[in-house]
Amino acid sequence: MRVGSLKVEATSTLTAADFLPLTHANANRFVETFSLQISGQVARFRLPPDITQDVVQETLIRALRGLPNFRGDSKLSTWLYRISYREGLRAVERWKRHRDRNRPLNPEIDFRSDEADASEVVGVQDDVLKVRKAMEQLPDNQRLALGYHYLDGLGVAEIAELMGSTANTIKSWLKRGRDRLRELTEIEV
Amino acid sequence: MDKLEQLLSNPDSHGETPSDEQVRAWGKKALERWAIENQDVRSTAPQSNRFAERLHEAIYWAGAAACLAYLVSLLYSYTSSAAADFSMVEWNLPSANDFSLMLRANSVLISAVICAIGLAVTRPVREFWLRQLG
Repeated sequence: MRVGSLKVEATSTLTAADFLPLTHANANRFVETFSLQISGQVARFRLPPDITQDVVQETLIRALRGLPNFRGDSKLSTWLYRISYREGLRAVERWKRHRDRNRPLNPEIDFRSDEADASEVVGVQDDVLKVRKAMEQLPDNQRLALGYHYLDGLGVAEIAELMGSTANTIKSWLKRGRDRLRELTEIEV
Repeated sequence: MDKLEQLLSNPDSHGETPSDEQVRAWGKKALERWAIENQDVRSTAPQSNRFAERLHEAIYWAGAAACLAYLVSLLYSYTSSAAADFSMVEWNLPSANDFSLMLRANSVLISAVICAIGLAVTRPVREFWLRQLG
């Protein structure tokens, strides 16, 4: 995985004006610049690959449509976070409905599992892998908040705005997420 | 930052992400879809946009004409009031001052209304079409 905070930092200074007028060449540059960041964010929703692909494409298209009218009230990267977050949430909802409809007929389609299985984490030697396994068992909001905070370097207020919640709720999600990860991975402070 | 937080700062802890090739392919597809969509918008929009432009121009020209009419009536009231007073009294018609005041009042009203329409209606119309064009 290459979508780290370094890449996000590099794109955080860009503005909409850097890609306007929105010619094909500028649109191509926009896609090349942000597709990695967007793909990384969308992947954290843990959707099947074909749906992840749809969400990434939809996010990029929505961003390109809106770019000429982007007023710069927030940073371009924050605006993109918001689009990918909304698209990701919509896809998760659609996927859950689809999964619930198909569950009795096709149990192997159950790509996302809501049930935590702590036994999967026990016995994993590598700490990174251990955390990754444990992350899969966190609720979406806690997992996404941890990703935005530790990976993308967003502050609590920014995450609250992005996820449509309050700063206190985000702090609580972060704390509960960390506590649950410690519990599952048994990693010392 | 404790050990867990350090691990959380590692992108690999957050799960699998698509490969470079996948990301490039998705970006390319998105760009193609956007280009097709954009072409469709551009091929259907100009006619409507020309209409909005013409409406916009017509209203502003009408406003300019009304302002000109107002200036002419103002000039008329200053230059011909004395002579007109004399001739119109004979024919028992309204005086030139009354006439020019009426004309002035009407032209002010007309130009104000047209300018108000121009500002209130055509700007949103223009912005609407520009938004549609992306």
